[in-house]
Amino acid sequence: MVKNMKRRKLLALLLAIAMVFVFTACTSDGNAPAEEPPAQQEEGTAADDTAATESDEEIVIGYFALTMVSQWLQNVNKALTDLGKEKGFKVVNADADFDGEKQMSQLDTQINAGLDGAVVFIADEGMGTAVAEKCQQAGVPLIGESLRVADADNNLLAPVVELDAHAVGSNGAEWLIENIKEEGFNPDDFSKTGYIALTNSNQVSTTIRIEGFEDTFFGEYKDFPDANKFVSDVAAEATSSDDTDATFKLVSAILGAHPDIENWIMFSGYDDLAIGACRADEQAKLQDKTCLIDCGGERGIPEWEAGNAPEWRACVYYNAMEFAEPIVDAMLAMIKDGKSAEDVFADQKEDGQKFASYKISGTVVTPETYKDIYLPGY
Amino acid sequence: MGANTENTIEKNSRTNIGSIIRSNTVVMLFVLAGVIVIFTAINPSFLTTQNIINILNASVIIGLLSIGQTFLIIAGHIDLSCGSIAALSGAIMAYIMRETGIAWPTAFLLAFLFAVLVGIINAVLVNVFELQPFIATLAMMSVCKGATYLLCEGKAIQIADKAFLKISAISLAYIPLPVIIMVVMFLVFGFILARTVFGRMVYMIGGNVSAARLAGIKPKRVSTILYIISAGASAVAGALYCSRMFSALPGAASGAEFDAITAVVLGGVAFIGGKGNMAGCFVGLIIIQFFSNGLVLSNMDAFWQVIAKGLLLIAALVFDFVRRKRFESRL
Repeated sequence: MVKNMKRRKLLALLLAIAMVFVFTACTSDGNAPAEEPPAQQEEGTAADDTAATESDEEIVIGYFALTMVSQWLQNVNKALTDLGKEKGFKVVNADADFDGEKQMSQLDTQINAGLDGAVVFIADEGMGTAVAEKCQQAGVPLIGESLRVADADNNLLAPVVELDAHAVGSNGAEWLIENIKEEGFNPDDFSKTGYIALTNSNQVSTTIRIEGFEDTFFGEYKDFPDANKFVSDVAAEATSSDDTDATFKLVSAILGAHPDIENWIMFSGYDDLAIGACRADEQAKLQDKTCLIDCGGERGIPEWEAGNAPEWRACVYYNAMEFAEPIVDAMLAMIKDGKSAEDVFADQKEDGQKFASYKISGTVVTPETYKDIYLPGY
Repeated sequence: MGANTENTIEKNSRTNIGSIIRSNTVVMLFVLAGVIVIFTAINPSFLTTQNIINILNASVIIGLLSIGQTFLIIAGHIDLSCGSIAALSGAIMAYIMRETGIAWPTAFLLAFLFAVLVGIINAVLVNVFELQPFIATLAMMSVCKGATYLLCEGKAIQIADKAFLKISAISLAYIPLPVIIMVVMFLVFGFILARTVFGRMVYMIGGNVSAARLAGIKPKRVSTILYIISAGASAVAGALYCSRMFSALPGAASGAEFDAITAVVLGGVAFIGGKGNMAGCFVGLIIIQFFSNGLVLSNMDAFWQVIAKGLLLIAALVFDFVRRKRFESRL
């Protein structure tokens, strides 16, 4: 009896804590742009204000993300939300948590709630046709973010703003080719130089970035010895999704097994891999003999600001705002001006495609140059 | 000395040798030797001092998590939240250091106490509300993971305390300090498990909880201590992870709990409880790390590596099963 009473008290306490937690979570700032007054209400004439407010307040753009635990997707969401505050529209977001079915259901829910436009990082590339048809039937303009909304033959079914992964890798290689001597390498003799590709074979975009680097770099230096080329691929870690620690282990193994190699070139598909490689490199005390180039920069630049990672020599930098701005401009043009989806980014349309792909290829920054274009928080 | 006595000694001696050969740990040591021979033949750089140190260093996080798992699994429990507790305690430590500027020992102590609290909550869920350990700790894994992302705001928390960052860089006689910490913890907890009354209690509640209760053991009290040990070891793992990476990462140690459980099971700890030891767990851990390292040095394709690791686990467990069956059929 007494035991049951104790249990009930504990249960009541736990429930109370849970309710307080839920209440706090719901009332915290989080991501509620709709509650913020649209910026345009404070500008222009009174007549214009009324018109702008009436029309703009009704615009709701949904951001349907693969997973909100990704820093990149959080940054895109923040960039869209901030642009919403600036341009007077509301952003609602949905986290598919890697589940295609869940994303379809979230689309249904938001369309029924009066969605005006959908920005989709598609949860499963195989469901492009279903997503496009759903939006078309509801008359909701659709733009793909980072991943293509395409059919089985890779024909675009909606405009997309995506990373030109091959060009990103190639940009990194071009920077290294230009600076090869300054970085301490002898372009006439790579016999004592090693190369490590930091990759994740589970991610198509990452492997294409690596291909871009290798096509350009080894295209320039055809005599680079194949025996000195190594791969650190976190896809080998089936049970762990901690890519940083996995890379630390893989790169530690490679460096430890090749003491004959005097200096190293590393190219990383994304920042989580690069951090792990840096720490392995520093543990092996090779930071002064390594040149690491990475795609992204959202974690690399804070390392530079903290005075860490001297071997991290360059980032092919791109930020979420570069993605969000063309998306928002195109989406508002479709919603407000009735622009056809086929005419969006028309100047970038590839032959044979009904819709266009707006490609972003990044800008190479170094610890000396990043401040000119770095946008913290995006 | 009479003939009977001599026979008894000979019989006992045979029994001891038999029990050693029967020991899963010895079998796994043979597996380890096989792994070393094969990979050294493929790549002579495999069996170098530097590579072995690298392998041990790479084992630290999973090794610390597997200490708690060994206790819990022997006792018939499990803790799926240990990787997330490591990430959360590391994030708490980094957050406190960044926001308050206090020295790392205090920040670590606070993070450690928080981890202990999470361990107590796990124990309450299992012992008071009688939730299955698998479900209770799975839920706690989710809570801790979400809390880590909230605290980190999805980003890495950089650590500026140079003294703390040096922990992972210090070596004593070429052996990195984190490896020494791991080995010491294995020895201490191995001793507790094998040589103390508490250790016998752990085996008893894992082997037969009703019999343990009749013998005066309080299984709930014992399991509460085990969840605390697991959470505390996770907090140490989280701190060493942060020291290694110079920052607390929201995705730290994600999935590491499964690697820890794999090491424990490979090391001969029975999943149904009541059987196993810390030495076996250590050998299981080392086999996995040697094998993974060897595959990397062999330049094997990543997806083949995944298959190879699965096959190793299956082969080792089937080998152990066949050996036990053959021995039992001889009795």
